[in-house]
Amino acid sequence: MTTSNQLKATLRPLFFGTIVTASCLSGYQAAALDAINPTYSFNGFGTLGAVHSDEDQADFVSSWLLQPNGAGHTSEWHAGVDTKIGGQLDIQFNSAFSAVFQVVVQRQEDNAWTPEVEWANIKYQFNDELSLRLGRTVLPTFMVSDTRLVGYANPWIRGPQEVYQLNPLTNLDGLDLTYNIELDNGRNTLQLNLGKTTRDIIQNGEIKARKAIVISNSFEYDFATFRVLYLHAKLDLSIKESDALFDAYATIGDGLSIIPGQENSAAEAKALSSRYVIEDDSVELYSAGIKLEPGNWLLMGEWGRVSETGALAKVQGGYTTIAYRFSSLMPFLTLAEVNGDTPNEPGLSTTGMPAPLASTVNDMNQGLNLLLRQASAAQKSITAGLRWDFHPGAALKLQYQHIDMDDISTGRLGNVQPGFTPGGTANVFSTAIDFVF
Amino acid sequence: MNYKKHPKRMIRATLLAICFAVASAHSDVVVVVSASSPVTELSKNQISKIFLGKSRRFPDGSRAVPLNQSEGNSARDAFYMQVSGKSPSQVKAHWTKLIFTGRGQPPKEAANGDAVKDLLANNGVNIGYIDQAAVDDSVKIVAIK
Repeated sequence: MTTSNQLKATLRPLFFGTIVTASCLSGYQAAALDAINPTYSFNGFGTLGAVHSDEDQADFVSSWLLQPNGAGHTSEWHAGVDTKIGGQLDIQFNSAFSAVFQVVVQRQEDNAWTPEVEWANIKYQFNDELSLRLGRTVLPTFMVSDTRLVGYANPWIRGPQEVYQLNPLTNLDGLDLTYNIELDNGRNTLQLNLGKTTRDIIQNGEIKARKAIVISNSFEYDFATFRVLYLHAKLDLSIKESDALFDAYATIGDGLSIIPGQENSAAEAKALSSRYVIEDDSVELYSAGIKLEPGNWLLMGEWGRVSETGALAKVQGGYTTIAYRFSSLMPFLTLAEVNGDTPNEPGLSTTGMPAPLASTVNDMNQGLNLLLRQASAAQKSITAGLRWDFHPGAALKLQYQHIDMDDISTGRLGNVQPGFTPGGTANVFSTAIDFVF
Repeated sequence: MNYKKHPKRMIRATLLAICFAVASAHSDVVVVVSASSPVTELSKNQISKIFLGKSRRFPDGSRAVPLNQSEGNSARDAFYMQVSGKSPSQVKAHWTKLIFTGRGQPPKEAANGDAVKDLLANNGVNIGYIDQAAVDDSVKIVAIK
C-alpha cells in the first residue's frame, strides 16, 4: 500500500465521524447556539513514588519500551518510575457538547519530564445512549486503561505489568463511538474506537499503530463488571539496535548472494531480517476482565493475549487481585503471570563462512536472541500491598513484589545489562502517595 | 440487669445502642425535590444512581439533576452512607474514576441546606438532600421506597 493510500485509510474514519457529527449538528444548530453557556472544570492528579529493586543487572521500569532506566542497576532507589502529575480540563458547552483535555508530565523514553497531551477530544452526546468523541481519546485496552495514570483511582501503585505492558500504547487519534444502555440494576456499554497513534520509545525509537479498530463491551450488574475487548492494528516498531541488526542481516544476505555456494545462507539471512522486522505487520490483541465489589471486598482479574508480530512473540498474561477495605485501610494481594512464546531461533548458520564473518554473524545471532527474549517476557509475580486513604483525595501505598523470571527470560525488566543472568528472581519494594485535586 | 452475669446481654444492648445512634444520625437527612416536582418516591438504588452519575433520569423518564452539599458537610456524608453505603473517601474515589475517564463530573455543589433549597425552588429537575429540620414549604420530601 502506498503512503497516500495509507493516509486516506487512516483519515477515512475521522472523515466519517466528522460527517456524522456535522449532519447531526445541522439539525440541532439553532438550539445548540442558543444554549451555549460553557462551564469549565479543572481536576488534577499525581503520584510521588519511589521504587527499590535488588536486581543490579537490570532495571525495574514501568515499561521496558517507555523508560530507559529505573530502579536496580541504575540506582537502588528510583523516584522516576511512578512519579507523575496530570491536569484535566473539562468544558461543557451545553447539554450535548463537551470537550476534554488531559496533559500528563512523567519521565519519558529520553529521561526528560516532557508534558504530553494524553487526551484532547470533543464529545457529542446524541441522546442518553449514544455519544461520539473525536480527537485524542484513551486506547481502552484493559479495564482500568482510562485511569491507568491516576494512581488514586486504582488499588495498586501501577497496573500489574504482566497484563498492562502487553500494550505500551495508551491513546488513539480518531473517533470513539459509545453506546450505553441503562438497565434496572446495571448498564451495558459497547464501544468502538478507530484511529492511529505514534509513540516515542527508548533508543530514539518509535512505535506506530495505524488503522486501529478496537471493539469493547463492558457489562455492569450490581457489584459486578465484565469486560471483553478485541483490537486490530497495523504496527511499525523501530528501535536503533534492533533496526541495525535487521539491516545487518539484510546486508549480509546481499553480500552472500554473490558468493558461489552461499546462496542458501543468503536466503536464510534475508528471511531472518524480514521475519523479525516490524513494518506494517498486523497485530491482534484480545482481553477480558472481571471485577467484583461485594461489600468491602474487591476481586479483580484480567487476561490478555497479543499475537506474534515480527520480533514480538505471541504473549499472554493474566492477574488476579483480591483486596479488602477496612475503613481507610485496604490490604491487597496480586498474583500475576505472563508467558511469551520465545521462538527457538538458531540464527544464521556460519557453516562455510570465513572466520571473521562467522564471528560477526555469531554476535548478531546472540543479539537477535537477546532481543527476542526481551520482547517475549515470561515471569510470575506475587505482590502484597497496602493502601491507606489518609486524607480525602490522597492515599499512601506500599507494595512488595517478588518476581520469578522464566529460565531464558528477562521478565518485564528493562535496561538489561550484559551481566544479567536470565531466570532469576527480583524483589521490588514500591511506595507512593497518590493524590487528586 | 446484671451485665457481669450476662455478657451476651451487654453486647446486645451495646449493639442496639450503636444501631439507634447510627439510625438517628441518618434519619436527620431527607431527600428533597422542588415542591412543584411530580416526583414523590424513589428507591435508595434510584437515588444512589442519580447521585453517582449512573442515571440521568427519574423513573418517569424526566431529567434528574442532583445537587450536592459541599465536601466535609455532615449532611453529605450521612446521605451517601444512607443511600449507597459509601464513605466520603469511597464517594471521592468513585468520582475521581469517573472524572478521569473524561466521561462525567460530580453533581453541582451548594454551600449548605439553604443553598440547596434556593436552587430547588428555581429548578424542577433538581434533587437534593437537606437536614430534616430545614424542610419548609418550598421543598417536598421524597419518600424512600
